[in-house]
Amino acid sequence: MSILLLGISSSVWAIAAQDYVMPIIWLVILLAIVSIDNPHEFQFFLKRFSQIGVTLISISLLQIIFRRAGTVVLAVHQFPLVYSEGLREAILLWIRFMILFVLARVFAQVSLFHFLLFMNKSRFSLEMSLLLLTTLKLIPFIFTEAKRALWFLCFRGINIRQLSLRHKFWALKKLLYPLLMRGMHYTSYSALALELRGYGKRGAYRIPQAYPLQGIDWILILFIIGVNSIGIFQIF
Amino acid sequence: MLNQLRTHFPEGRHYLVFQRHEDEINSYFEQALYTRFQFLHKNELWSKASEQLPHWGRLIGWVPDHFQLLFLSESVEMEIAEAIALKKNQFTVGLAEIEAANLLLTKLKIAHLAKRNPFFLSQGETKMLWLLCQWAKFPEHLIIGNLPAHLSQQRLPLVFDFLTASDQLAQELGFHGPTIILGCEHSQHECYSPLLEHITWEVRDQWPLSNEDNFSA
Repeated sequence: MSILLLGISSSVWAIAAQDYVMPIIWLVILLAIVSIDNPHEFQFFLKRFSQIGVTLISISLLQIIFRRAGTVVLAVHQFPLVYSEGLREAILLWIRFMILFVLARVFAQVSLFHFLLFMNKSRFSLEMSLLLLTTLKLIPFIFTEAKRALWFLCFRGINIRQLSLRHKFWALKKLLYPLLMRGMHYTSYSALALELRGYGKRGAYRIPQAYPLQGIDWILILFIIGVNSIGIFQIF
Repeated sequence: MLNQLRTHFPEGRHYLVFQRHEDEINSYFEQALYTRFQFLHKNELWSKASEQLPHWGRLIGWVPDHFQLLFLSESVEMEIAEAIALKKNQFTVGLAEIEAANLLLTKLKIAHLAKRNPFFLSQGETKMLWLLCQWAKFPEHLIIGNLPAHLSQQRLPLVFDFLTASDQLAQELGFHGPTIILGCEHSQHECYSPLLEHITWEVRDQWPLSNEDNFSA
């Protein structure tokens, strides 16, 4: 509940804000949560984020080049290169992507069972909850199996770097078949697991396990309300 | 690793190696060939390090034990035929490769599995198929850490016959047979006696390589 509120608040401010202050505040809060929770993972997270750096730089440059509104920030030989609107959008783009990345990391730390408890206590049907969570669980499974299939392909002696474009396409086709077979195998077991967890049971079903808000959740909720209040006050 | 294999297990003979426990050799190769190549970042897919695995894959055949095997073809004979085609640097499978695959399946007396989907084989059949695929790469060294595992008493003599006739069969197909390294526990040595009747097999008291070694091509 508290993490959901955190996600909604930070996302809304990241998308809707027209200045830097609130998005940067939310980004700092999220990064602090990640680094406090697991300092070692923080470095790993930064490394993962840097992998999309090239893409973000390209999009930022497009924003800077093609948004020609506002005051001139940089001019070369009296030719205006960078406008304030373009620069603002480029910086906000980085902040929004970082917030998205950190939020994904924060949500990934929550166990699927806690997701199920939350959805059950929020009166979502058991069927929808189980289907959604099974679909979410399928995504890392596909990545894992794709990596394994790639290993088996390489262990056959196929060096993908040295293949021509046509043979790279052939290699990709070879990877799809085991993914399909393993995926079908996985989903058949998932279907059995869903049945055992009450999928298809008629009527509303409430999981008897309690899922109350902890002290830390209340502190976080109050903190989120406080930061949002400051942001709204700042606007008006 | 390749240099050490060539040093400790020179070609010309096959080796039966006594290991301290049934997973010693398989653990070594799982660490050397699988664990260190589980790519964590997509950049590593295209890095120089990623070229080492295909290079080793061409020169080393490995038949693991507790390992979930994956096949890339729709039928057993295509799986073996593709391994033979790749040895010839071909990406398409021709009639010659399919005939060679069927010959290998007949030698191992599992020709009835030729058209079956590899994903629906039993554990023993999967192991035999994987053994054939690794052998059909005609690597320098073919390592089988624990041969009797998952193989029934009826299938084990078939595999022994196949391994005994390995060099001759490879010559028939126009290739050089691999140097076979079998792992064995001291308690199991009697079941390998049919192999030791042939003079090309040599017994080694222990597995000479360890995971602390520097893995260099």
